[in-house]
Amino acid sequence: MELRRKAGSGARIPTSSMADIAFLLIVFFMVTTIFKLEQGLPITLPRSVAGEKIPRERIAHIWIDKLGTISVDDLVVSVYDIEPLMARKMRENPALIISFNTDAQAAYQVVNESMERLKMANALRVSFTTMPEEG
Amino acid sequence: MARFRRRSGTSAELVGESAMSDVAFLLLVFFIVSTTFPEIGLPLILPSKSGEVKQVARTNVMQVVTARTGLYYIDIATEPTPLSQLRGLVKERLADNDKLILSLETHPEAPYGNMIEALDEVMLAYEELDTAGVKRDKRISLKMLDVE
Repeated sequence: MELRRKAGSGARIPTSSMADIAFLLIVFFMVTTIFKLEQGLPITLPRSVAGEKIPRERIAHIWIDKLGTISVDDLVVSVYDIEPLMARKMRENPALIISFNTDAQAAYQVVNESMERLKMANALRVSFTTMPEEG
Repeated sequence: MARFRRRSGTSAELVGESAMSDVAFLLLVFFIVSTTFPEIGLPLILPSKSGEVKQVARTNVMQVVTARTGLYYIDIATEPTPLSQLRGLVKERLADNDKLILSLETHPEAPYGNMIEALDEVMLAYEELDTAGVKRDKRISLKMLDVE
């Protein structure tokens, strides 16, 4: 018996929905991916109307939560660590702006003490991060 | 004179659609990578530790005190000032005196957010004066109240 090729019955995989599948994948990965970012501390920022945009590349963050826990570079630090840490950062970038991400309910004295340490480290440009509020 | 005629025989002129999704992806990825949300904040320059201590006349200082309760007191007033009136009062004083220093004094246990709200009002006062054509250098000093 002789096997013969079937006459070309144009067998094609439909490609029109390929983009849908690709989008599905990209959305899936976007949702599930967690980037290694500075997590900081869970805080509720105060609101402001006069807030200005601060250039990101010049920012170093200090996080202070409701209870007064201080975090720099995702490490919980004591107020005494702020001076050497920030002095080192200032040597790397003298134009650095220290951004306070502080919970609106935090006691002011923690912020005040941190600012005193910043003065010692000669890091004098600060910014108080706020949530924009329409006003 | 030459006449333009349609070419005979419809040559299928199709724009390649298969690359469209590639372009879409490229755009998507580009915008994901390039988008950064701006950080909004109130900027301030702290006084240098090594700087000399200057004496200033009482009349050139306006104290905005944030008490432990989160209420605001101006100068040595015994009655609190509502936040909504703060901006107007600061503007009045600033318009009168071009050497005015805003001293934001805060109780150690006062909520930080309340101090920021006062600072926001002070910044807005400067901004509003600026748009009204009254230029004032931002002389803001943050201080913590001494409590025994």
